[in-house]
Amino acid sequence: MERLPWLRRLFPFVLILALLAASQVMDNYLQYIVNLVLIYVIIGIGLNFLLGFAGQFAFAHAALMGIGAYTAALLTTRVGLSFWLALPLSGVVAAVIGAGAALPAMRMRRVYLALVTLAFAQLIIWVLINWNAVTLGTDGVDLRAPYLFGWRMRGDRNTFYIVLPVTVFLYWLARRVLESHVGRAFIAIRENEIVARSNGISVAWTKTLVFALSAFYAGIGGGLYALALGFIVPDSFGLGQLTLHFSIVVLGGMLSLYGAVIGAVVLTTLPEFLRDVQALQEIIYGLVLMVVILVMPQGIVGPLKRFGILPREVLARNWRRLERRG
Amino acid sequence: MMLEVRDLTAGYGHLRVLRGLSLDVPEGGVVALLGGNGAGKTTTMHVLAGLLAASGGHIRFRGESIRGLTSNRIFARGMTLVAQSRQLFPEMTVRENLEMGALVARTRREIAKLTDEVFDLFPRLLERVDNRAASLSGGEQQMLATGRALMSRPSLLLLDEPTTGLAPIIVHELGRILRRLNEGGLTILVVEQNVQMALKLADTVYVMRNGAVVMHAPASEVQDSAEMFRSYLS
Repeated sequence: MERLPWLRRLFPFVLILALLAASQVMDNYLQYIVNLVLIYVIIGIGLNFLLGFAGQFAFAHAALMGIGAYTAALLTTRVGLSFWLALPLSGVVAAVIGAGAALPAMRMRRVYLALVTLAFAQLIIWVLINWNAVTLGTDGVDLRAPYLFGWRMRGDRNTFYIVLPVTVFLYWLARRVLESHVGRAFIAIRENEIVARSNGISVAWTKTLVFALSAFYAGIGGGLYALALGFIVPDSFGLGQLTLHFSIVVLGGMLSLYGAVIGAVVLTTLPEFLRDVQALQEIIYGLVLMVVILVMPQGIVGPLKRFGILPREVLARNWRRLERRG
Repeated sequence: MMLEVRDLTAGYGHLRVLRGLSLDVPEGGVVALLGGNGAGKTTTMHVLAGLLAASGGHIRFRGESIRGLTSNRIFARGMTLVAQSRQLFPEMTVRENLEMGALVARTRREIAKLTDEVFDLFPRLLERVDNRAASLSGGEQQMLATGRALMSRPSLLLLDEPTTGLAPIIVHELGRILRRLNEGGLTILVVEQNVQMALKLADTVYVMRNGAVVMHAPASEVQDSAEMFRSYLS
């Protein structure tokens, strides 16, 4: 594809058209899986900002997704707000709380930051479980299908018509951010904070921004997740969810938006392929992860880029260290 | 005066490194800061660039106090540091390193224009544009570090020991380029161990010892009394 730039430009449009066409013939369950894949693309991009591009080892992504899911569900079901307002608000609320998670990142790194953000995530889950008056605790909250021009967007196919444009828009936005001076600042603080500072980058502001942006994506993903499932409980956003998020980014490929897409496709559909071997499902899932990490440390995008199937990406296009590793 | 420093004190924890440093950098001038190891030259540069907080004294840049400002605010006012040992992003290419310095540029076109200006100045970088920074020679790395600083269009360039570890021919080439930049209106404050290079490049020379200036004079005068000058440096 590297040698055919016109095909590269055309590919996203072809993919969107193909998804739209396929939605006409898919059964509900398959449509539900496609919706989940798209939601996890958003989640994966959000975590990639933080973990891949800015190098911040934070573990609150699943809890922030939960914040988004609960914001959307509670605002629509209990406050009576329109879903079309509740969805962006789910991103905003998660972003504000996510920016708070940036505070420990000002003084901590790596394993220390991981532990503090993990504790922060557990605190969020604890609040979701125990603040019964608002969150309804372990009883969970439902989210009813929204109306659009008087038409109720009920069912997986209608959910798809909401999820697809949001995913496309957030993917486009991510590209714009990464191509801008903001994206360069993310990478600079990951590479060397002192050099970043002497190049005029405010490390504190950049960290706050990347935490907030990542949480915004988690929040929107959470809001759409609540819509796709129709019912959420706090347990949905615990360690299992967090492991899935990290697996998507690592397996797909860090420092790559394509990585988030590939990781989401593989890890959301893999359990479906393993449905017939229920007993071995988790073992096979784990083995696939281990093999990919060992053979393709750059993630699946590594070899795809090396063989020219995927184009190189902004600021990571000559990432020789990663290419060497791959 | 572009930069005025008065009675500056700074240090690391209980260790006082700068003990009342004062110096002036005139607009369009080149000032060299010399001194032995541990004199406080690099600490001075870090304090001026906002990487280390001053504990006392005044720093005025173009008439305004910048003491206490964060490094990014100082950078935004037009003061850019090329740190000791170049401090590049080793895994990025030459072009990517340059782009990292282009925070003033908001569009790809602006970045391309700034990059072209740097390549005009350092044609060697253009030849190595897709090479990793870590694979460059010491001289090329210094060119890249200087080029990256120029991407922000600074009005005052702080250079911390730019010639350390470079071959004489590269030192000469770098000196020529810095003079060209100065003729174009760029003000330079350079910390240097290479006295000959400093005297050739600078209009004024300051000598530091134990965190304070012990001597300053026009570079031409210092060249005439080299013996006395060396006694300050020893």
